[in-house]
Amino acid sequence: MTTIELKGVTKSYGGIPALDGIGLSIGPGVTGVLGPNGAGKTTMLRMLATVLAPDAGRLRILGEDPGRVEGRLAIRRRLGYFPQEPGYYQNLSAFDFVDYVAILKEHDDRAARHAEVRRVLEQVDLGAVQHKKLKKLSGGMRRRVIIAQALLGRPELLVLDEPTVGLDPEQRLRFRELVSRLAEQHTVVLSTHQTEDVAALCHRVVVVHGGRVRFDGTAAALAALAAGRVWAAAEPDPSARLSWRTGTGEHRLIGDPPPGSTLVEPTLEDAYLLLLGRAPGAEG
Amino acid sequence: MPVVLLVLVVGVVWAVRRRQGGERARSAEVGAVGWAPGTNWRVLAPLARADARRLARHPAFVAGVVLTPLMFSAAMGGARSWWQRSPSMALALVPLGWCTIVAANLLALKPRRAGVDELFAAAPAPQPLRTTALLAGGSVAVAAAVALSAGWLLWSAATLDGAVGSPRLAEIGAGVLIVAGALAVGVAVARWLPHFAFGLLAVFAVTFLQARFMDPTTWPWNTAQAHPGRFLGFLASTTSAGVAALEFRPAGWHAAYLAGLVLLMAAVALARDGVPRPLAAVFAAAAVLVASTGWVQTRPPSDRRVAAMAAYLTDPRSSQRCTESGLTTYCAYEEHRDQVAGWTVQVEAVRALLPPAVAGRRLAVTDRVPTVTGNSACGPKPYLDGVHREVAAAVAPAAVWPEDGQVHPGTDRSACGGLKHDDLFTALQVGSWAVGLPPGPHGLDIRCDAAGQARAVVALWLAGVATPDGARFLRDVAGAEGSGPLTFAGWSDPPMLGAVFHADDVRRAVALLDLPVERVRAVLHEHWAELTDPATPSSAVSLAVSPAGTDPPAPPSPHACR
Repeated sequence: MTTIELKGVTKSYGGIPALDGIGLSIGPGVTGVLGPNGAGKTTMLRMLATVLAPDAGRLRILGEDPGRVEGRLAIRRRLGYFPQEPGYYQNLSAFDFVDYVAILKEHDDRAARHAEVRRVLEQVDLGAVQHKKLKKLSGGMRRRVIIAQALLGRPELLVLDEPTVGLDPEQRLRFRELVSRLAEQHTVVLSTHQTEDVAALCHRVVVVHGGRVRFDGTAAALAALAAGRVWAAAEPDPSARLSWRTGTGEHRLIGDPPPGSTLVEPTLEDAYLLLLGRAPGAEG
Repeated sequence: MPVVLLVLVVGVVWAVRRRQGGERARSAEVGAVGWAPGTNWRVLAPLARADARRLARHPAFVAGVVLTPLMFSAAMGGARSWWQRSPSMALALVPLGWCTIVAANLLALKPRRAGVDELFAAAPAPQPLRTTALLAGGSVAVAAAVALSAGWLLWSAATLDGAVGSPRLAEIGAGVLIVAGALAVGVAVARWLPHFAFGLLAVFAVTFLQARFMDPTTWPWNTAQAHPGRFLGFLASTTSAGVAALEFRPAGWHAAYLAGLVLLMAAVALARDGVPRPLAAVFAAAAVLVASTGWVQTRPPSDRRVAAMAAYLTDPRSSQRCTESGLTTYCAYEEHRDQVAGWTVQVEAVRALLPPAVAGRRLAVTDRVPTVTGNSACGPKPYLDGVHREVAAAVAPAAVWPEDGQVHPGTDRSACGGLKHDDLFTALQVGSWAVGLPPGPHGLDIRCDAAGQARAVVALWLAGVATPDGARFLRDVAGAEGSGPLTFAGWSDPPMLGAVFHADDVRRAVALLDLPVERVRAVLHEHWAELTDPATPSSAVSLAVSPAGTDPPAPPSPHACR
């Protein structure tokens, strides 16, 4: 079953292409979107959230055409969205803020709405601080408030743009648990820089770079791209495509085997870096 | 100046919109659905309630609410009738309106300023629904204005402050509608010019519009204060005529006119997302309401109304009730009936000091409009400038202010406050009548010069003795005026006297007031004919009462009182 369908979707900002003929079909489960900064991930997710229109191409979300007003409304009624840079009403409590969003999401019955707001706040473990003003909550807690609002009404499609930034490890694990549970019945599109999150959560990974899809497959298939090309050695090797010193003092090398090195099991991150030709910490 | 301001505003708008153009690609409004047919309007009520709570807690709005009772208190100063007070209450609600513009503007801009506009844009409640909710939630501002006004009315009733008449709800309602309009302005500006600076600019713009273009006495109109064009403004204050019978205040029509403007501005706010047929109908209805009520308000008064107003001025007895008290006849307009008791006290206090032959003469005390009164800017202004042009043209000053020898007490028509001592000046008019000076001015404020005349000192002494605290007040007046004639410069509502008194004569009267009353009274009775003779110099009074303290006589004035 296809929830999202993109065919030849393009989008440019001032003549610079952000998406260059993207084609994808996304179904239920968690789809991770990986890519360096400026790759076009956020542009794509904003389109999926119906807040941005493509310049050209075909886009179908939940069977609706977001190019039509009625289609956009229908999609929004079944959508949960976590924008890349979510803002807050600092002087509202977590409860009041999520309640306000719930009204915007057409939860017009007060009692049912309040129960729903409490439910989503409990889901992100904010029940105890729901009446605290947002300005008094930590950055991680505030992001959980935004996650909570995205869960309102058990949306069929969750579009999450870097939701785990700023979450502590425990909260990231809780988030993974939550998303994996939701993904049993719904479609989740998750953009992130955290390859661990993708490895842990996503049944499918899409790597976007330069406005194009560079990889589309399972996490295991992505990791397999680096099979037989990741090595551990005592010394750095200038001829390696990528190399870096790890916390154990060893050097991890990607490319042809240097002398005295041993083959190691590749990770998703190794494969991602190999695909993009970057070293850890390098920004695109 | 207006051209410079216009250029400035257009420049700022252009600059901001240009800057925003660069952000358009990221704008959440790209995916806007506008007036979508499938909008769930059931959400309107809970959303409006949530917005009402946010507005009620907004610091700018709270500041306006806190300020309003102080404004009520300040605006009431000097106004004795509810006819004057009611428009003043509307005026006192204006700062709440200013604060509401700022608060509503900031609330409408909040999603953009807080960075949640994209999040909200992805929700199914479209912008027109959210704008409507914000406008509906603004009913909390209207409710606050109503509650504050009602509270002030109850307070006034509880403190029994003796205001004449009863509150005019349509006049007070104008203030409430101004607050409602302020809300619509704040939201409309935020929707069309999404930067908080424009909210502040809107506060100045509406104030400038009212002060510069809605006041008929200023440029570019430069016409009479009572010109009905003033009702096209948001607020139309009372004129210096200061009386209901001489003003045509279409308060109900003005309220309907303001309601039309509120509706129009709300429609402007909603039009940012397009103009569907129902909104176009609202636009048309609001425009028709504004145009029709504007036309009704600005019609000149009918001939019958002009004749009635003219009669109020030239034939005061037709609009007054007269009562006899001893040898005095008191006639007062209805709105000043409560002042007759005070006039009686002053008349009887002066009579008690007079020789029996003089005290036994009949006197008429007749209420009439002053020749000069305070205008809306609290400066002295010819009274006829404050009445309708048609009425002013229909009356001759000599008919409004005949030289009738009657006492015409001051009635505190000006709502400007400031220095006043109506009791003293009523007594001074009675004293002037007793000594043969004209009590009140006639024609276009014609007053003779009583400088250096003994009878002027006698009249001043009589007024000082008859009025509690009169000596102190006369001393203050003499101290403030130097040595020339009393000009009452800077007074918003100068006293109506038939003669010009001089500070030196006031000082002589004050010197007499320092002496025992019985001693001075006895001397006056003994030398009454001589001391009230126009030819007797003021030094003669001092000589008669206290031979040691004499001054040289002052040279006679060409306009000396005969």
